[in-house]
Amino acid sequence: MVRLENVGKRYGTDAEILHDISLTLDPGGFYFLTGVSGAGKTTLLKIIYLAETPSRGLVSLFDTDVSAADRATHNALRRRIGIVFQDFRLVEHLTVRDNVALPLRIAGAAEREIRENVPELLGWMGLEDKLNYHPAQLSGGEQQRVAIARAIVRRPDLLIADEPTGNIDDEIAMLLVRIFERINRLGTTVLIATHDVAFASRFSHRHLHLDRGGLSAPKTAPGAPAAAALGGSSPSSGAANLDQDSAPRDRAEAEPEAPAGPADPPAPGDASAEAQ
Amino acid sequence: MIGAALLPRQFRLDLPLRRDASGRFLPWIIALMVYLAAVGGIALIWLGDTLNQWDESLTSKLTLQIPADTSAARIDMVLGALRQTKGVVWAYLLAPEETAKLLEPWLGSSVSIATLPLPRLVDVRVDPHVAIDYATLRQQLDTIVQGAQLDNNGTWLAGVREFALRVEGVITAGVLAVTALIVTIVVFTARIGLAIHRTIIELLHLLGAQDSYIARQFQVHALGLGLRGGVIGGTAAFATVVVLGPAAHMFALPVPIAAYGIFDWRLWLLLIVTGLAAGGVAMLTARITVLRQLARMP
Repeated sequence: MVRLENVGKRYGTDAEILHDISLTLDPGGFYFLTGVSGAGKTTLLKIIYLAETPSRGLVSLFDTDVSAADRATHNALRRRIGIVFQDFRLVEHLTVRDNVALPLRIAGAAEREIRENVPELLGWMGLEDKLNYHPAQLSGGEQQRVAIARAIVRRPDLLIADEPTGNIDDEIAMLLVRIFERINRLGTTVLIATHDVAFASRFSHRHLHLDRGGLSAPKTAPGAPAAAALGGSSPSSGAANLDQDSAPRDRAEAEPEAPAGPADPPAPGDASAEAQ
Repeated sequence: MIGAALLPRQFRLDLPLRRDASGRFLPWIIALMVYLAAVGGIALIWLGDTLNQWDESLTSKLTLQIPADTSAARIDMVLGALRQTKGVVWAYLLAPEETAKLLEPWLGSSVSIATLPLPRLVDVRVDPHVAIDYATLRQQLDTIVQGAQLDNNGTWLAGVREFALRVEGVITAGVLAVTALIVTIVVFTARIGLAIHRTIIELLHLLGAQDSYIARQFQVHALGLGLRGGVIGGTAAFATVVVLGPAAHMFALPVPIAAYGIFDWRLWLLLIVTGLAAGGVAMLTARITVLRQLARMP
């Protein structure tokens, strides 16, 4: 799915921000990318979601060598990736509905599909009454859920979230991870970057730890799943068992889950046309 | 944004281009350009019509002056020679009274024309499609009546035609300059738009948007601005014709546009074509500019 070999990144003549990064993300896997601020997490994510080109090394996305691919292929690869940016990057002048519809429109989906599927997904995210709001009218948590909805609306093959748990309290952070786990169960590979190693350690998902631009074993993460993906591939540890996790859940503030139970998120992207 | 929701998807903009300041001044600049081009076009039509009229009337009309003291027999010989010339349709000798009538505006009716040594005039009509060797004809006429003068309007008209051609050239150059100006303005507007909305454009790229998807937004926007300018400029040009048409009539200027007035189909065609062309040029320019700029982005 994602394969990096000896990837390095430097800007100009500065020292390398990333060096000798080799990793493999397996299809259906769930990964935490940990590391202190400035360790190079965002740069590594940018290389994976094709916002940056590495200074050296090989990047392969969905079995395509990125460096050899042309511009149109890059865009086609990007359409298979959902990104939750650290600053959400919602389009201010577009409504919540149109923000979430953006990836579908870009992919050339029919307006009928968009009319049906976007409200459904936003309802699943607990935003059914905010469809026509603009981002500025939403709270930070709501904006983040819109950003997540936009990232998953086409049911991407790979979901990348940059510090989604950064400035929110623990319960909501747990809830977010639950959402990502559900998406993961639908077959999407998930990669979450966080500076909070302790938080990531609460989950049995595999960890990639960045330390001063290089991958290493996390210092505080539990031994077994840590760095499992370093330099090679191994089967996903599976996300299903996380439902047994006893972490506290707050249903009052940000619970996006439908009252009926753990329904899977709708996947409007399934039917959408792949515009080339 | 209820209005935007009702638009067909081809006209939906993810970029807030309609809020840019460029959208406010660009239609007016384009309107001015369209106005100049349309008025230039109307002038071209008028010029063409006028020349055609002159062509028909003047190239087929000649005047022969015969000195006053020429005998009737000589005059008959001249008329005979003219009528036998290939291409001459008819030759009519004006009676002295008719000649006097022509001169009346200058001399007044009180002057006894009969006392003046007036030359005899022959009104000659020729087939404009037959090339006549005027040099030979003049020589021939001169041998019959010394001092006979054949005025050929063609020589004079050739000068007018050359002048008209130059005017046409100037107007065409003006229209080209106007087009180039629209292109330049749209190029800069599109570049400014790209710079202003760079963040959103980068986002669209990260969401996998192809360059053509982003370019489409700019071209739709430019098409709208261009058409708006086209309508304003076209309306102004139309108003000019409405105002100046009757005025031209008053001065008895040979202005066909004024003669046919606002019912001349060519006027409408010109206005529609100019307006659409403004939209089309703006749209194409925006598309090409944006695609070229985007190709330089990562």
